[in-house]
Amino acid sequence: MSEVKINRLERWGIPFCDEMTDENVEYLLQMPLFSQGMIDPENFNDRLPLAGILKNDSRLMNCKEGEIIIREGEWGNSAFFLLSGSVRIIIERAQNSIPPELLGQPQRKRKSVLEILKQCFNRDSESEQRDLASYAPQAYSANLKSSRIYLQDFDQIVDCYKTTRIDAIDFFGEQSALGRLERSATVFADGDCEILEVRWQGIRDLMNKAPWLKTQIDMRFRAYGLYSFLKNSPYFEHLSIDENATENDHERKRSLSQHVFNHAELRTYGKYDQVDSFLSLVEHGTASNLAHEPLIAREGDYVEGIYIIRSGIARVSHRYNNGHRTISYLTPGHAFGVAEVVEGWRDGKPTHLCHSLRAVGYVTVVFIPSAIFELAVLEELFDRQKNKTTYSGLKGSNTPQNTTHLDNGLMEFLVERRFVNGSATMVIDLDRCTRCDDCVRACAATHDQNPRFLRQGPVHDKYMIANACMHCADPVCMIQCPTGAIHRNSLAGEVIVNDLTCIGCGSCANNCPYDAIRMVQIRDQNGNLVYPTQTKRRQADGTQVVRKLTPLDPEWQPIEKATKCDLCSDQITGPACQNACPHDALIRLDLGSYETAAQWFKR
Amino acid sequence: MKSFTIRRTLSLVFTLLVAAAIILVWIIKTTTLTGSYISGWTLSGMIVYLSLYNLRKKLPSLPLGSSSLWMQFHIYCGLLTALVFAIHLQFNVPTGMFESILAINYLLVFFSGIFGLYITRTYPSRLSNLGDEVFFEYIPVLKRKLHDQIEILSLNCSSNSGQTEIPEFYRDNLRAFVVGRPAVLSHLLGNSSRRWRIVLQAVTDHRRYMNEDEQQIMNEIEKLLKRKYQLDAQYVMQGALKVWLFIHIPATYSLLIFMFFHSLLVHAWSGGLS
Repeated sequence: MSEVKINRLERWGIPFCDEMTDENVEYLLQMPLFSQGMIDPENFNDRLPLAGILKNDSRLMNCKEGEIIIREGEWGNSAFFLLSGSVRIIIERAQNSIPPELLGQPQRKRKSVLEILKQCFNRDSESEQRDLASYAPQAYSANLKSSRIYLQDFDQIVDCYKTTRIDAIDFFGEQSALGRLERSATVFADGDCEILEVRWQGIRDLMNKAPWLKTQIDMRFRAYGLYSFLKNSPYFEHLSIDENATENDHERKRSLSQHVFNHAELRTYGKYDQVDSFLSLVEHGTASNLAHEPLIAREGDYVEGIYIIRSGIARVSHRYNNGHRTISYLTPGHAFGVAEVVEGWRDGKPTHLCHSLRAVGYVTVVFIPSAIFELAVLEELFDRQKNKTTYSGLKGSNTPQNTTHLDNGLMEFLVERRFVNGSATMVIDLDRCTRCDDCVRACAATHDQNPRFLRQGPVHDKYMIANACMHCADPVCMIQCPTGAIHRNSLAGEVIVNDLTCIGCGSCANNCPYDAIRMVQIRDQNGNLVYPTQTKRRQADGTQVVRKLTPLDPEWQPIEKATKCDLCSDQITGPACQNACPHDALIRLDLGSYETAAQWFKR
Repeated sequence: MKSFTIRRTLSLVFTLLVAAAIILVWIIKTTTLTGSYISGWTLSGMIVYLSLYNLRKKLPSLPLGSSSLWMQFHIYCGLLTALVFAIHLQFNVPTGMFESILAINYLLVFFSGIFGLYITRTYPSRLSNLGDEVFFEYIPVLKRKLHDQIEILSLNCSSNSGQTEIPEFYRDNLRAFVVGRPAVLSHLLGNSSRRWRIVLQAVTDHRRYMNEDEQQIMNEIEKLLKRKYQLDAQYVMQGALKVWLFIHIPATYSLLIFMFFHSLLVHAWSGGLS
């Protein structure tokens, strides 16, 4: 079989935007952000120079009035530095926010029926064949460019919706980029402005070398993160200003809201960029791991307040014999300690926590002190004299503790091995699965004749969690990707690999605790393996030497790419595996949603 | 957007069903077709529809409905064909050679389907009760490894202690089970095979002649024997779950061919629809 050669990609092999020139970089370095010591080029070394980050991990955007920069609900992989001009952030969400049709939400690209038919009948002799022309850098840059969308009636939108203005020099969008979360607000240009968009790998490097940026990001995380969370929490929905309310009511609600904001705390547990601990916890998932999970609240302690999960997953457990039994797990929006606070308030005496709460991975919680919660929520909504007051009447109090249905052993299994992190976990009911492998064949038929999962994995009772990407709520596979090839789809948030920018380093595959990512050798359209043409090596003086490769070199290895389940995001029918199962044995389950999971397991 | 697609699809399906009913009534009213023709064409239509499920499986990403939905229709429509088939035959046994072959072919498809339905509903839980999940294709390799492990254990025992009790016992009582084929019928029916019971009994009986070291080795061997028994059960049941389709599907193709010639002959001899 003959050999085909292409260049092996590197960290900056394909820049974020091919329009960034050296002149652009020079221009940026003169900007106050970089010239006045906020981000000091001197702090960066030769291996990772600031100019390199700016040239390869960023792009310069000149926006006009009303141009939409980010949309609420999209998944972000980059942050924005406002260099000049100003932008507006819409600070209201959900029903009070701008309707999606005005925001020009891009439609998800799906294959047409004809393309699907071609895919079904076009069976290549070898799997993982690629069109090598698509790896040309310009092809990728063309992929990146998106059409600009402007708000149609700018003035009216500014008048009708609550917005806040940000002026240069400032930054935004970093929370969702670093936290691997959805964008929490829509941002649009308020007049002409100049913006530097930096992909999250660049932000990570900037943070490491610029203490100012790190401090600013941490500070904002606490201030804005808390503000936007409380603003949208169902617990404090009754404090939102109603148009029909009296002036007194307005004033009281405003004062209570301020009171809550002043006393609430945003707390973080675990490390957001640490893979090792998470990986080892999953691999050695035993009850002793409880000791390694950061404790948020301890059973038996005096109730100080309620804990609302903002991001991540937390385990609720209580002491049982010499260990701890998992009662349930909490996901964003769920609260802990509400029942105890209500009981204490109703009975007028101090209460103790009935359970412990521990962080599973990286968790952020909003802590509301009991006194504040009683004042702003309980006193407002309930009559203390009525003995039967319970927390079940509270909006947002639908915590799994009061609807628990999952079998205890199954719960321990799911939490201990962190499967609850999955938003599309492949669960197979072995009592229904006939081992026909229709799911595997369907997956292969839709993915280059190579299935993106293995029908094997840990089993508890009759349930198997297959080795398929679970599209985690906190995808640790993304943490060490040098090019950002593994990222979240901005529309639906599935974790996908950009084949064009994947350099085949394997860090995602090594970091995935669930063994769901596989490195594959790619082939050209004739079925030949693809080899690199050259290798680059950095000398002691910092210069790079390019050397042509021959079959005798140890680096002469076929080019590899990371592959994983993409949840068939380009298919009309959704996940082919689930769709192909004749016996309803296989499902892609959002285990983060306790109720949905419990319903399926109890079917 | 999606609701329009769903509405259009439902409307189209409904229209096609009404059109089919109108055509059927029109055929009954305007032609001289007897009940056998109607039941025959109905049965043919049902069989053609049932055979389309295999095509649906080949096109997994086309929006044709989920496989499980197709499976449900396949099962119930398949069961219904038995009634239509009986009506078509007017509850008689066919006498002609061609008709007999056709009827046998239909019965083969029908009963293989029933067998398939039974095993797909009962074997999965029996397989999961066995414990380890193994791929069907790996089972022969695993069995080979087990065989080697058992032999090494027995031989090591002989070379280490100089005693020959275990190797001889293995040769006389266990080897046939270790290298032998699985007891297909017992595993299919879910009974423990006679050979397995004999092996277990032999192990128990011979323990009284073994010292402590030998007992330990025997414990190891017994574990491996149990694993072999489980792998046999996995192999037979997983095999059955695959093999029944090699009867059901080819028989369906031959039924379609026979059915085609049958309708051709019937209409040729009767003068056709007109």
